[in-house]
Amino acid sequence: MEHLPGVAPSSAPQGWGRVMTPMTIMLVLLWIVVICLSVAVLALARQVGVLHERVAPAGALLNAAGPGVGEPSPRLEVHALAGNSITVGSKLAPGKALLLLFVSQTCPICKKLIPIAMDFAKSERLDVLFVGDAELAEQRRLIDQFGLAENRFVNGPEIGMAYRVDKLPYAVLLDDAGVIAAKGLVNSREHFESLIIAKETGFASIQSYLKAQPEIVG
Amino acid sequence: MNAHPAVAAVAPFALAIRTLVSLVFLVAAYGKLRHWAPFQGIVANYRFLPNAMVAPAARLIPPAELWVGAALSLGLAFPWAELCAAALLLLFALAMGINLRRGRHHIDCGCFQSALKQTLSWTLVMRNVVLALLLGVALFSNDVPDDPLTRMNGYLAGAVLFIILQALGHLWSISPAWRQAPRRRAGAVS
Repeated sequence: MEHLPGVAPSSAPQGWGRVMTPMTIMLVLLWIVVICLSVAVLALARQVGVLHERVAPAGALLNAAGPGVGEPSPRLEVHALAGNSITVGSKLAPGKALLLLFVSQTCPICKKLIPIAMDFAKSERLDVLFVGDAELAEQRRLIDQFGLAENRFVNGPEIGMAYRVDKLPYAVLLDDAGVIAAKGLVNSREHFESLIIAKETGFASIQSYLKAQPEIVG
Repeated sequence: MNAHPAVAAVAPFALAIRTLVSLVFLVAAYGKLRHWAPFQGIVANYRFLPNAMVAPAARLIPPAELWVGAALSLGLAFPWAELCAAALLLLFALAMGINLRRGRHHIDCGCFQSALKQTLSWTLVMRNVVLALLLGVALFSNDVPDDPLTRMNGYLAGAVLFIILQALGHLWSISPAWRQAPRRRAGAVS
């Protein structure tokens, strides 16, 4: 009696020896294809997630949580990584402004934005204070990578919690009286500039500025 | 093994299910052990346990998941590993369901403790219920098939299902964010 392909005769050796019929080779091939496909689907899904994270914030987006624009900043005594103490929300020299930038080693946009922020701060004569909340080694890597100053880098959750920062990179601009001049989620140099515009024009955000001048939107 | 034919037919399915669920638990435990401190906050956020029990629960859940995952993958402690796994899944589903009924959609599920925050949804509740039901099938058989090909089929099917579940997880964590985004922005004064 003939045997069907894939069905081993009963006298065949047990184990892998009887497994390698054409049918099973096809099955193994199919499995390889299925595994490759599912890995590809996973990679695609992750990529969609990354794209979503990058695309979702469309402007220097102002969230309503935390102290609002025009309100005095909460006064916070914090220590920078170099050990010096810094008072956030204190009075500054007249005409000065302090830019708080909330960053993380794990956020790709932050890494793109840190050099932009430093250049922007230089041209606008702003003091910058970088704020992170992660392990020390991680922050040191960030500092080394971008040549940041340790005395202008605060590692700890206090400031982020006081401003209710929920997305990174986030920026807060404080004026010389310690009042919040502008704040929001920042993704580009244009967003930083929108903070300065907000400070100078008194519009809380680029959104409210656009709302007040509808012809610009068109 | 001289199992009943019906049980023998279930064996590869049971193996696949056990592999799938054990991978779910092992990866979840790994994520939670890596971010153990934030996990306590996530447990507290559920407002499911009295405050005094939050810290012990947060300390207990990752090792429990690790044990369940290991026992399932090694076929140990049958049927207790399966029952514990189903109980944990249903407990998590209950905690999520209660918070969804309270309207607390925005809290982090903490399921795999990945960098991407995954908010609660009924999809996640259903995922847990379906996994628990699948474990019911695994209760019928703890036989590891003798035939290496059948065994390989079982393991691979479980592993591939796990990868697909992870992919779905990524997609599920994105779509609600899109749908809720305008609402959340408008009502963020909370």
